Amino acid sequence: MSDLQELAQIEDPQFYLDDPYPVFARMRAEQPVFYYEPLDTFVLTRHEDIRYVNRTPELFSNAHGIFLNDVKYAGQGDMTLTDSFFPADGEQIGTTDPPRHHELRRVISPSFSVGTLERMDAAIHGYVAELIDQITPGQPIDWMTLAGVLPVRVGSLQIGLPDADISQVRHWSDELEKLGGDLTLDQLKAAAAEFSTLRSYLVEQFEAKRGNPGDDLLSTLLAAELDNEKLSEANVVMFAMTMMAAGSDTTRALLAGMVWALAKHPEQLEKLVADRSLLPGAVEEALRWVTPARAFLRTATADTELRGQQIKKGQHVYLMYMAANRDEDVFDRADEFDIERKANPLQLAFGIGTHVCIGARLVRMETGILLNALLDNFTRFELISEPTPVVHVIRNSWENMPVTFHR
Amino acid sequence: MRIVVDYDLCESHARCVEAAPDVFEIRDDDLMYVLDETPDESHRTAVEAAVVNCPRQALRLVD
Repeated sequence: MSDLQELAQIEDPQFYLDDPYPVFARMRAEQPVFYYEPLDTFVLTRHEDIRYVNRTPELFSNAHGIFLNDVKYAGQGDMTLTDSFFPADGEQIGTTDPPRHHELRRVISPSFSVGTLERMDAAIHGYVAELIDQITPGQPIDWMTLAGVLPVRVGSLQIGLPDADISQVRHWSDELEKLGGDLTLDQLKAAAAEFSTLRSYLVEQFEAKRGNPGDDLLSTLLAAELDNEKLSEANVVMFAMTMMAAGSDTTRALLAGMVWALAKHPEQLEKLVADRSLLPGAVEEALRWVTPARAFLRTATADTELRGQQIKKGQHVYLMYMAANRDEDVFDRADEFDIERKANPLQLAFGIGTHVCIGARLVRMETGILLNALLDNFTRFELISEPTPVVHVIRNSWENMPVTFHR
Repeated sequence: MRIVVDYDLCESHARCVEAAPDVFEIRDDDLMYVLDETPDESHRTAVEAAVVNCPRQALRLVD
């Protein structure tokens, strides 16, 4: 047994908080297909390998779950833990393989189209302006709390939920977060039950849309057909739940992590203040740097081989996106935060291929609007103290982030 | 070089348009169109970036 076996405690949230990057560097160099025995799972840390797996869904399936908890608690019921959070009679897009996956995505992709997002632009600018108004220059605030409102408002707008309901929406999103957390099975079952109360709310909202359809996801679902039929209620609920859950906490982590990174690297912020054309690159570098969703799981559908390592049907691979985002084969000086990085469109924070984040364009848009507004109003971001990290297996985020914005 | 698009995968994320605006376009129907399926060599770097950056990995280059 190598000492890497001792070091790579991928189920332990503390592993991620204690600077795992030197361990990932060794894994990429010494054992890029690293066997994690307790869960019969191979951990992939190289950019190239993670891209390959994501392009090869016929060999690496999502249907057996996408979190380590799905493996850890496999065989405890007749469905995966991830699926237990969602209506049993609906299809969950994250745990569905092609070709069905493509059919499901095609139903919702119109509500993420370039044109749909352009029509959301003015509203998002309005939300951002309200957020900026709550910042007093020179006064410390908890940036995590303040920034966290934006993704929930944007997500609600995109789904077609009333802005007045955002605190409840935030609560449901937090319950789903527990799926990737370090919790007991009973705690997870309680979270799944809590999350299920969302169903009746969504059915109500969906009914309300019938008389007053718009450009949003629920209206798109109202008009959509799947298998030559109108969508089942279960699938409507499933899509809306998934979008609500997937977009808010991840984006909150990005918005916080971006300010954190710029506060820690004032020379990068100065470059951005001097040249606003660097903004898209800064957003991309923040995505690479933060990687809000650290990793996801796949399961081999047949015996295969990767870099000479045999992987048997039914064994798992764990795609450590945060490690791929520091791969020196792709990113020079990968451990430096550099907004002018040429390779930064290659960052894998959204994943890539079959299951790539469908909301990526929306996230880039709202993050860019927010950063632009911050730069319009402030020239220096000051961390008042080290932020408290969230203790979680896959979410790289913070409980709080005391920041002062200076004019 | 020739560009091949897998339209089962393409979702018109528009990253290809950002990488190679002379070769790809999003039209008013919100769908992606290839303006030139056999662009000349001067576009190679931009088209290769579009292929690599495609979120859904829907683009291929055939020489």
